[in-house]
This record gives sequence, C-alpha cells and structure tokens, in this order.
Amino acid sequence: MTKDRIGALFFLVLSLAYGLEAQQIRLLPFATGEAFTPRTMPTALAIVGGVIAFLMLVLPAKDRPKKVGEGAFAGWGGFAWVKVLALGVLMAVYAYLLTRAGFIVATSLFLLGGFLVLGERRWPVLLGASVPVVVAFWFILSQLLGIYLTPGSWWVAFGGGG
Amino acid sequence: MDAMLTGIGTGLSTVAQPINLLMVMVGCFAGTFIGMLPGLGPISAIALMIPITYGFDPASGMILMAGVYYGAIFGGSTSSILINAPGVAGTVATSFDGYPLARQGHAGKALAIAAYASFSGGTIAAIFLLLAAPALASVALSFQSSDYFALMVLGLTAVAAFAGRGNFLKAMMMTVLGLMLSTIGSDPADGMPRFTFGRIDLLDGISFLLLAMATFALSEAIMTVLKREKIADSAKAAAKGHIGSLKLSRAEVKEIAPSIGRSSILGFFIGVLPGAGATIASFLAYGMERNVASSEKKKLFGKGSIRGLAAPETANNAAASGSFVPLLTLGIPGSGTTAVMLGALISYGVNPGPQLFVDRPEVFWSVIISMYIGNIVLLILNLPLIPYIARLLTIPSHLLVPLVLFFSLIGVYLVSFNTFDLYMMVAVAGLALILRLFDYPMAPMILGFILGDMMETNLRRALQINDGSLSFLWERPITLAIMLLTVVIVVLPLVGYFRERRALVRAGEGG
Repeated sequence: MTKDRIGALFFLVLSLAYGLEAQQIRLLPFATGEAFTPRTMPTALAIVGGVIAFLMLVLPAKDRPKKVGEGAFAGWGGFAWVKVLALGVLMAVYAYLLTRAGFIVATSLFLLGGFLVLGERRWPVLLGASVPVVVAFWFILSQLLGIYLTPGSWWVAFGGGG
Repeated sequence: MDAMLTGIGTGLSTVAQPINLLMVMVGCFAGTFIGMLPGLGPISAIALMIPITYGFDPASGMILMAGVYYGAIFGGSTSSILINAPGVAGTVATSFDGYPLARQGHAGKALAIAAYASFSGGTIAAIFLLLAAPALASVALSFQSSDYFALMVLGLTAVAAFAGRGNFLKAMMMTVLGLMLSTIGSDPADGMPRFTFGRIDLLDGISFLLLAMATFALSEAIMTVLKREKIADSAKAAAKGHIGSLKLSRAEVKEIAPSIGRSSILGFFIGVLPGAGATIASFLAYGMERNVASSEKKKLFGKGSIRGLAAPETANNAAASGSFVPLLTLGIPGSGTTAVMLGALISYGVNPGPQLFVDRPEVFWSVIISMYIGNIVLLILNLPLIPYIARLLTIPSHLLVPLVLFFSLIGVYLVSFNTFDLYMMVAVAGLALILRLFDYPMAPMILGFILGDMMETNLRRALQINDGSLSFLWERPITLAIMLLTVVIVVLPLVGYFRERRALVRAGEGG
C-alpha cells in the first residue's frame, strides 16, 4: 500500500466519522425546519471530504510507471523517533506540572529534560541554559508585564509560595 | 485622492510613534533571526509573536507582524545564500544563484543584491498596494454575503490549486480538515455544541493560536529533531565565513535594475491572487528572467547570475506586499501567512474587510506604511548586521529546539491559562508531524480553519436572504462570476491529470 493510499483511507474514515457525528448535533426545536441548521455545514463538509478522500484513493497522484517498490510505504526507520517520542512525553509532563509545581520549577525541568533528550550532557550548560533563562523570563512576565503565573498548587498546599 | 493623502498621513503619524518604530525594528530582527533557522518559516515566526502582541494596540501589533514577515523572508534569503538552506519555500529560488555567488567569495555582494532587490520589490509593491487597496476596498463595500461566501470558496480552492502538481487533492483535503476543525465548539448562530464530546474546554472551539503553533512552530521544530537536521553546523559556517564586500558596481546595478522592475510587477500581481504567494512568485520571476536573458547571460543562471538572484528576491517581497491586498480589503487571506495575520487581527478585535478601511483607517494605513518602513529597516539595519545575527545562530540545535518548544507552549498557555490547551497542542503537533511525513501541506488547513466560521456565517445569511434557496449562486452576477472562476480552478488540474494519464497509457502501449 502506498503512502498516498494510507493517507486517503485515513481521511475517508475521518470524513465518515465526522459525518455521522454531525447527525448527532442537537437542534433547537424551532430550528429543525430551517434551511440552515448547525448540522448543515458539517454535513456538507463530510460529503466534500468523503468525495476528495475517495478520489485520492482511486486516483493515486503519482500514476506513472513505477520501479519495483517505488512509492510503497517503506516506513521511516532512519528517523529519530525515540527522541521525538521523549519530547512528546516531556511536553505532556510539562503541561501536567505547570500548574502544580509552578512556572519556574516546571519550565526549568522541561528545558533540562529537553536538552538531555537531545544529547547535551555538560552540567554547566544544562543548568546555565535552563534555570537562568526561566528566572529571567519569569521576571519579565510577572514583574515587568504583570502577568500572573501560578506559584504551583503543590507549594500552596504546603503553605509556601513559589 | 484627498482621502488617500489623509490616509497616508494617518498611517505615517501612527508608524512614526516611537513605540511603533520600535515594533518594526524588533519585528524585522526577530523575523530575520527566526527565518534564518532552517525549518522555521514566516508562519512560525508570526505565530510565535502573537502571544507577545496580545496586549498591544492593533496597529502596533500588526506593524510588528508585518516586520516579522519581511524579516523572516529576508532571513530565509540569508540562509539560502550563505548556507544553501532556505528557511522558507519562498527563498528556494534565491539559493539557485545566491549560493553559487557566495561560494565564489561574493557572499557580501549576494546579500547586498538580495537586500536591495527585496527593498525595491517591497517599495514598488507598497506603492501598488497604496493605490490598489483603497480602490478595491471601496468596490468590496458593495459585496453581499453570497459574494463573500463565493470569494472564500475561491480562495480556499485556489490555495489548493497552487499547491503543486499531484498535491491538489491533498491540499483540498487539508482545507476541508481545517474547515472541519473550525466547526468544533458552539455553533455561531444557535450556540449548540458541536463535536465537543461533552468537554467544556472545547465549547469555545480550538483556538487559532493553538492550531497555528502546534502545526507550524511545534511540528517544524520537532521535524528537525526527527530528521536529525543540524541547525547549528550550517549556521556556524555562516558565522565564521567571510562575506566579502557589500558594494555593487555601477554596471551591476544597471544589469539588475530592469529585472527588479519586471519582477516587482509580476510578484505583486501573483501575491494578490489568492493561494499564490511568495514561493510561486519567486519561481515565476526566476523563470521569466532566464527566458528574457540573452543566450550568453542565460548560461550564467544557476552558476551565480546576479539577475537570477535579484529576480526571485524582488518577486517574493513584492508578493508578500501583494498578499495583503485581499487580506486588508476583503478580509480574505490569500496565503497561510496572511491567514495567521488574519487570526491575529481577529484576536485584537479588528474585523478585516472593506469596513476596516472605513472604521479603522489607522490600522489599514499603518500596516501599509509599516511595510515600507520595514523594508527600510531591513536595508539599513539588518544588512550590515547579518554576520552578527548569523552568529546568534551558533546556539546549537539541541539547545534551540527545547527553547522553541517552550516558547510555543507558553505562548498558548499565556493566552488561555488552560493546561488542556497544552495537551491538545501536543496531540495536534503529533498529528501534524505525521501528516507532514505523508506530504500533506499545512497552510491550506490553517486557511480553512480561519475562514470556516466566516464562510458558514455568510452562507447562512445568504440562504436566509434567499428563503433557503441556493439560487443566489447563479442569480447574482458577482457571485456567479466568482463561482465560475472557482470551477475553472478545480477543473484545470483534473484535465491536466487526465491528459497526463492518457499520454502515459499511450506511451505504455507504444513501448
């Protein structure tokens, strides 16, 4: 199966699911007889999306004589997937910690983690590029621009500030 | 004419305020810096600036954005010339002759030509914009909702049509995906929840900033990690490299002047077309220049022709100005970049369109004037500072990427103060990454997302006025003309496809 066909199939399923979900949108009692309801646009989009996805499925874009294996989905083995996944997890953990551990702690940990994941191992660089940057940014945001940044619910629960 | 002079006066006095002058300079610098980073383009640059400008006056915010836009294009040219790594698609054509020039030891000259060409292209286009925008805005005042609906359909289709051979359907699919995403949240008329799956966080819909940041800044930065691209190594070369003299001889100026004139006009008009933009303009200008060159000069193209460098550089800047015409006059962005700007304008509480010209003349005119000032800033300040700005890029990519991720995440968080948005960003960025690997373009999706709401509102209004009948599509001449144009745009690539297919079948039978 080619990369193009996998993509087309994904969008075909997506359009179908979107169209079905569109029929579940609740309407106000008087709206049912109207020409344009909250369902109209989504239904039209599901149809258009389905037609395009179907066309992509039956009309492959690169329809020329191919060498054996050309255009087939060969995977992305040479890519740095582990690092990317680690960064994804790190971002999710950052979202979790931001309101709990507070801006300074959460962001410093996020940057430290990011540098480590991407291969930095020198501690002076790791600490120097994270904590001072975060503190400076925090100072600009909260002290100069007056933007409230939560100190972190964990510290508040312990009766302190952050 | 009087109104225009008053407008120019308003624009000048707004831009001349110290804070706004500062905005242009900061915008140009920040844009140049971000545009130089391979992988990060003007859309990311602008998206990263939006959270910073939230508290600003709309005019100041837009002035900053315009500066960032120009800066990013110039930054892209710089990395194209110095290290053959265009930061943005619009400067790919610049590397054809810019990089060979740099390798011959004329990097300084190549950068100077790029700066002068950009300046001239931007200046000539700004004059066109000055003349065209108010005229078009006054015509557009007579547009009705059905015309707007048709225009949006045209704009979205054109973006897909210009996406390149074989990509039309993919770009159309992404446009539809953007439109689908725009329907998430409360319905604009009745307020009924749609696709919220019972989550309160989704009632307001997906924020445009979240989508722009996740699909551009985040996914572009992650892509450099995924593909193991080293930003730093190439930048180091640029920072250490001797760029040579920045001066041009009189003969050289004479040689590039006609190219600049031609490419400015071409670039501006390509930029005005919805969907086309800096990339197409630069390639067309390059092609045009090669065609009109004498056979002797033609041989130099690709090997360090100064005309081959000046033409795309002029055209991409002229197109950048041109793309503001539909944005400012119709409220319909013609490209991914102007779509992000439209999102920014809406978030400032400004509704772009013909009324902008009437209601908020200071925004309208100051954006136009700031473009010109932006070009001057690039020429006077950025050009001499390029070696130093390039040195900033020696920050290794393994330190830079986490910082870009942090700025993207915190930029979105500082607007909503909702961590749900951050989880959503990670998910959207992951999906965007996969779609990028499947060669799906992101810009049409952003455009679809931004226009979705307006399109639905205009369609509803047009239907209500017409008692639920779609007859306005063929009864109103303006609407009909725009719809016919859309049909042509859809049909042409399909005809090309079938023609190509038939030729292939014949070739297969023959051999």
